[in-house]
Amino acid sequence: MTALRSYALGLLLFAASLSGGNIQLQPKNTDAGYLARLLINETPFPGEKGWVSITDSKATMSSILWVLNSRIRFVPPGYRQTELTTVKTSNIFDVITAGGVHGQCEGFYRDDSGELAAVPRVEQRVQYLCKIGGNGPPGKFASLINYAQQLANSYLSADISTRDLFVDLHLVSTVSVTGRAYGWMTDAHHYSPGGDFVRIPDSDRGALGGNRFFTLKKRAE
Amino acid sequence: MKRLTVLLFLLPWPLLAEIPTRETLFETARYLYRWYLDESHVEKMIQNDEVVFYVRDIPLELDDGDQSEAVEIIIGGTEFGADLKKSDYFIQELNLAVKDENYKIFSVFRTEATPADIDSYQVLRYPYREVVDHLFKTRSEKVYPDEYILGHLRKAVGGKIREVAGHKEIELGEHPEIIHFSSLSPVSDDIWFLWERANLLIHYASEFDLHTEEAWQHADMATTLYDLDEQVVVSLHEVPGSNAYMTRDMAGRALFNCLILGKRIEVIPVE
Repeated sequence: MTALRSYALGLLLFAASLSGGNIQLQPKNTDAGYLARLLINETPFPGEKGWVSITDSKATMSSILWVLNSRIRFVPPGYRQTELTTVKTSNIFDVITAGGVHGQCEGFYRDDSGELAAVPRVEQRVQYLCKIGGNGPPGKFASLINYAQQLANSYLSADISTRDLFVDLHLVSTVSVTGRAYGWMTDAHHYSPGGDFVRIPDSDRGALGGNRFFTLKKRAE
Repeated sequence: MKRLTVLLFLLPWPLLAEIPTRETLFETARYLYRWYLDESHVEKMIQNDEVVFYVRDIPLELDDGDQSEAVEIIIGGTEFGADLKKSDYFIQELNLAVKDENYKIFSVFRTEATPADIDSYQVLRYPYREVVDHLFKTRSEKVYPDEYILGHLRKAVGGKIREVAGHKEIELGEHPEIIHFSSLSPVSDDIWFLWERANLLIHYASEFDLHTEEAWQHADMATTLYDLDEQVVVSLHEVPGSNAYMTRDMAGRALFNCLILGKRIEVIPVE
């Protein structure tokens, strides 16, 4: 009971520490907090490699959420959902955690009891960003963290509140594509995610926040 | 002035905010040679008397006051290109300026041997022999961090070792751990480390100047880990859509850059 109380107290303190002042980030053990952490984890903040601007990083978060959503709701004709996510599901958290700790979203997984979990460096970075964003007048760090939380809240309570940048994409170079993005990659040395993924070029805003977004080759229905 | 403007519009190539220097072009070629190119790519370059660099500005949607610039460089024939950025902005929350003297690579991509929309590029040509001589002569050149950076690297890597040791059930003793880190490039801020005993690659990448204390305060959030026992596949086609893996080819290059072209140091991962 004591252990339970101290755990609860810890959670309260944790939640308070991230929701004070400029920062409105829900605890990591809530669905909305977990989803927001994924969006934050995949997006560069000022000083990090891939940083361009606040508009660019917000577009990155939105596009990542759209990728996850499209893997559930907009599986293109000729494709099976399992080709895109390795699982058949209508639950966004199954998409995020598919494949375990080194699965679809590196570092995000379900633990042995089936609870949503992330490797420690995810929370370390979030804490660090919150510490920077929580000091002084509200700035870019706070704005990005709060935006991630807003996107997550909106998605889980209603729907995505932003427009899909890639919904009308039908041709990349000479390749017919499905429209929408179905994958992204973070590092410079990841220049192809394999399968039938097609790199969305810069001219179609395929490079966001140091990430490259990928659509799919169109298949016969 | 009006006449000059008309003349500029009549130029047969697009104007660049800043034409990359010969050093930037050649060092980009060397970076790709070291990390991406193989025999088949070089054989394609040999087919011409000159190496053609296709260069164009990347329009960035920057924040107010941000003076950064970005440029795309494709090395004709190799089917590889790189995006480079010269950062010039200020982080209010950290009271810190981020300013590069040179362009730095932030993305590498596959492309056609000659870009389809060739009119949007400025074309810069160098004799094939000049480029290849540079690549050949510098193929084993090693540039290591100075003592300031090295001291911080030891601390940062020591922290990562402690973090990972628990997950990999590696018992840390009083003996030092062996780390190999890659040579530096003038067109990249990336550093790769191999922790020998754990078969672990650590990739450090950020926009901060490594000679500032601030860079090392943020070092933890600039690292990515690759467990070579678990996160290597022959082809990313095996794991479509996942961003957790690297190919065996890339892992091999990282090992070559750390073990052969890199530097071996000993790190005692004390608290």
